Amino acid sequence: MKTAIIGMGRMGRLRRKNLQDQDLLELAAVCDTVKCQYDDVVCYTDWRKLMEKEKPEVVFVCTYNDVISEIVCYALGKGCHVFSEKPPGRNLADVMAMKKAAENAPDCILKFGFNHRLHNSVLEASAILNSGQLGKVICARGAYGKAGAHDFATQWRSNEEIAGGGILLDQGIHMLDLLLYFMGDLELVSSIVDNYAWKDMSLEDNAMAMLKTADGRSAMLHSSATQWRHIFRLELLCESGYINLEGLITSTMSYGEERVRVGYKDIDQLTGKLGMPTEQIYYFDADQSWDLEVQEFVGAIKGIAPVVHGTIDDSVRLMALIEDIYKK
Amino acid sequence: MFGYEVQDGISLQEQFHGKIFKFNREVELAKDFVLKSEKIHFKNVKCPVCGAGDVSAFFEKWGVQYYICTNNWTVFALAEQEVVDNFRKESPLTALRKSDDYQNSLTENRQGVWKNLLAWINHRVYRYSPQTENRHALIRGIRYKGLWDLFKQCSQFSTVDCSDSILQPDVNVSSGYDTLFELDTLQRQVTPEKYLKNAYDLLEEGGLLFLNTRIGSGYDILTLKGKGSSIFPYEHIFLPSVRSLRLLLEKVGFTILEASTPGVLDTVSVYNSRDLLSEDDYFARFLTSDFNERLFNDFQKLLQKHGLSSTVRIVAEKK
Repeated sequence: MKTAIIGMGRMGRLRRKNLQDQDLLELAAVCDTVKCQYDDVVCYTDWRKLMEKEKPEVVFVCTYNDVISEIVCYALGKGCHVFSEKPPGRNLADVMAMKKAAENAPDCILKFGFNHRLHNSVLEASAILNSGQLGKVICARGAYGKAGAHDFATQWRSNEEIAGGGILLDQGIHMLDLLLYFMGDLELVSSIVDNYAWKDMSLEDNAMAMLKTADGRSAMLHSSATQWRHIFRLELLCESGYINLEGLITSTMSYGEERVRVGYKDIDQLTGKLGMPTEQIYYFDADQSWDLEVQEFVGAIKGIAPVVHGTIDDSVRLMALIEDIYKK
Repeated sequence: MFGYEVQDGISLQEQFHGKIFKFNREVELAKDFVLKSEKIHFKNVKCPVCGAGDVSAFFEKWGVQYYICTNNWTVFALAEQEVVDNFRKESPLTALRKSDDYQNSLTENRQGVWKNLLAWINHRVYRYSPQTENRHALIRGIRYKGLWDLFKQCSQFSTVDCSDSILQPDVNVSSGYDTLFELDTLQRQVTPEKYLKNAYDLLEEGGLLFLNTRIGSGYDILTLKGKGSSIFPYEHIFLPSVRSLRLLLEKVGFTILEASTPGVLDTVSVYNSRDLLSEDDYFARFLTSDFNERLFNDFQKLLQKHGLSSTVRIVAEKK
C-alpha cells in the first residue's frame, strides 16, 4: 500500500526504518518543513501537496503536536489508514476532532503510538496479571522523569502553542496510559502542576496526580523534567503480591536496565522474612516496541486483529484526564 | 534476550542444605555403577554441536573422559546410549530415587522451588500463547512424584502425560502436544540433535518447549572441572553452553523465545569443593577463603543474570 510519512524528525526517521520490514506498506513519499532528501522516495515540504499529488493509502504522522489533529483528520477524510505518534494532539479538543473524523471514516484504521505498552516489561507484567495469580491491582505508583537539558525551555516541546502541554503531555502521558491500562478507568482526585526549575517557562516541569477508580482503587503519578537521574518505575500492588517495573530500554539506556520484579504476599513467611519474600526478576535486553506497534497497525489493516493499543478511545480518555490534571 | 533471577528470601546455606538431602548417597551409587560399567575407547572425538574435531580433554571422572569444545563451550563425554539408558533405568541410584522415603522427603523439601517453577511456567504460557487453558502437555524426564502431582493440578493443562521418567515404565508417546517439558533430559543424550528433533516432532505447530538442563559454560563446572560432586557420568553426558544450545534448537527448527540461567548454587558448590581447587586457581581460592554470604549472593545473582550459572532454562516455539 502506498505510504507516506509526514514529519521526518527522529520519529519519522525511526518509522521509515520500521517500514523497511513491512511487506504490505511501500514508502512512496515523505514530508518535512525542513527540506530533506532521500534517494528512494519523493520528498515534500508541504504535507497538503504530498497528500494531493501522491494520494497515499497509509499515512504516518510524526509531526509536532500542533498539526497532528489537522493532518490526521485530513488523511482520514481522504480514506487513509493513519498511524500517529503521541500525544494525540495538544488537548481534548484536538483529540475529539480526530475521534469525529475517525467515526466518519469507519473503514480506516487509526492508531496512536503508545509504544511503552509493547516494551518487554509491560508485556511481561500484563501476562502475569492476566494469569490471575496476583489478583487485582489495588494501587499503583508511577514515576517517569528525565533531566531537562540546557535548552529545555527553548525546545519546541516547551512552547505552549506548539506542544500544548509540558512534561506531562510529552512523557508523563506514557505512564498515565500504563496506569489506565493496568487499572482501568481512573478519575482525578487532586493534582499539582508546576514549574520548579524553569521559572520563566509557561509549561510545567513537574506534574503530580492522585487518581482513583470507580471501585476505590488508587494510583499516583509523578511526571518530571527535574529528575536529574532518569527514572521509569511503575509499582503495581496487587491483592496477592506485587509487580515492579523498573528501568526502560532506550537508545541511551539512561533509564537503567529494564526489568520486572514479581513477588507474592507471604505473611506466613514461608519463602523468607516478612517483607522480604522470594522474588522472581525478569531482565530484558531488547526493545521491539517500535516494530511491534507498526505490526499491530498493519495487522489491523489486513483485518487480522483490531487495534488494541493506542486506540482513539484510549486517547480521548487520556487527554480528558490530562486536561483535568492541568485544570486542577 | 532474557535474564532471569530468583532472589530467595532464605539463605544460601539453607538452600544448599535443602539440596544435599541424600545427594552424597546418590553420588556414591552413581560412582559404583560407572566404575563397574565397561568403558569403550572412542576414536575421532568430535563436538556433538558443531562437529569440530579440535576439542580438548577437559577432565576425567570415574574413568569417563570429558571434552570441551571451545568453539561453542560445549562440555561432553562419549558413551554408549545404551549404557546411559541403563544407568537411568536400572541402576541402584534409580532404585534410591524411586523409593518412597526419597520421594517424600524431596516433596517436603522442594515445595517452594516447585511452586516458583510452576508460577514461572504459568507466566510464560500467558506471555507466549493465546491458549492459556486446556493445554495438552507432555513431561519428559520428571523425577519427582510431588512435582508431577503439582503439574497435574495446574489448571492450564487438561492432560499431563509423562514419559522418559523413573516414575513409570516407558510408554510410546505420539505427537500433537502443545506443551513439552524437557526436565534434565538433554544432559544425558549422546546424540542431542537427534533428541531435539524428536522433541520438535512431538509438538504441534505453535507448541511451546520448556527445556531445562545443566550447562557446561556455568561457573561451577568451569571452575571445578569435574572435581565437584555436581557433575558426574552418566547423569551428565552432554553439557552445552547457552550459545550451543541455541544453535542446536534453531537447527532443528525451534524459535527461541527466551533463555535464562536461574541456577542458584554455583558459588556454594565451589565453596564446598574449595579444597579441591587447582593450586593456580587464585581467584576461586580467594573467593572461597571465607563464607561471605552477601558476596556469594551478589556473585550468584551476577551469574544468573548474565547467563553464567550452571543451569539453563529455555522457552522455544515450534514455528
